Amino acid sequence: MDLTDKELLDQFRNSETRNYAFNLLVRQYQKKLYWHIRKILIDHDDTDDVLQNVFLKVWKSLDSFKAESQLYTWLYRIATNESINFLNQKKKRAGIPLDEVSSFLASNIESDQYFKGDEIQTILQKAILTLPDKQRIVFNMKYFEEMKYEEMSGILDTSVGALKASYHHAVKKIEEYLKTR
Amino acid sequence: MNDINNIEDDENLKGLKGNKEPFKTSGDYFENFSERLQKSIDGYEEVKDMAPLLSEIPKYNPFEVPTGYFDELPTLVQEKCNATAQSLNPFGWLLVLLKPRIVVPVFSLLLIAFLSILYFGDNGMPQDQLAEENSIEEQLQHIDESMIIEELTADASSEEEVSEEEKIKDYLLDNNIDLNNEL
Repeated sequence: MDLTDKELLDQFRNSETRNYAFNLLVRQYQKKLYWHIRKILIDHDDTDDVLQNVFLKVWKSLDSFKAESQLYTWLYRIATNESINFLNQKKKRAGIPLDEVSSFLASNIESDQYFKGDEIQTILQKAILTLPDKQRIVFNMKYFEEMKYEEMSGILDTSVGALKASYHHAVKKIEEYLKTR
Repeated sequence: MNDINNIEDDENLKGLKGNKEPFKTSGDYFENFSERLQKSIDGYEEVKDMAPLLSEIPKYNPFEVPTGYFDELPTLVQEKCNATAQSLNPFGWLLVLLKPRIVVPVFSLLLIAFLSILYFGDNGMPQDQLAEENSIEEQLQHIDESMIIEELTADASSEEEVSEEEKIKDYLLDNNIDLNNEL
């Protein structure tokens, strides 16, 4: 049974139920956050690392979380920032020029043992990878996770108008890519 | 055959044998069904005119996770958090230090270091000796150089005189000469 944010937070702040509440939180949000991160990083092992770090950060700072935003908005924001930071560090470490990032991630898809898409899905994923990182995140959140622009706005700290424009640009670019295949 | 196995393994079927409807849904499936369906329709409508090729591609998640990943993750995360909690405990280092095999040598070293500092000070020299040397140096700075030379020369000549007298005494003793008798 899923607890409400308030119930989770109340139980977390009680030292006797702290571990229990955190375990529930992880179970409640692990899949959503995992898939959100996985779409950004593609690789399962990278996703696993980042997801564990996200939960670790949440555990450290949940006490100070002020319920000004929804818990899941806060969690998504941490996950998005951690993923972008991880991706940037990985690019730096590997010395990958910015214009070769998409081919680098695309090669990850082809060698990923946990990617089970058919040919058309592979083409679609490669098309998505041609987008700039933030536009790619917007596209995935809207197209696959079917999030509302208002929810995305809270997570990405971007106006609804800018998100709509970004999504439409992304869709057009992907359509163009698909036409050439 | 596979389908039969799937039915036997289906968690949603267990405990429902004999019921009219043997299947059940997970959580709030029907509560949010219409909302989720509407979202999908809206998403399709938004894209279909702008990107007909994209809207024809079946929308599903082509990525997978290792078997049992989501079952194990909460435990892994909890262990990591507990480990961090221990390292963040402000008294954790104290508990480690209080182990006898650590506390005895550490305390001894600290005691030796403290006593050394107390006794030797900065130059590794006893404090009294250091103070004495400092005061001699201070005194010498106030004395004229010629006086020092004079004093040193005088000391040297008196030492020479003393040594000459000693030689004579030694000579007389060695040769068994009694001066009282000779005079």
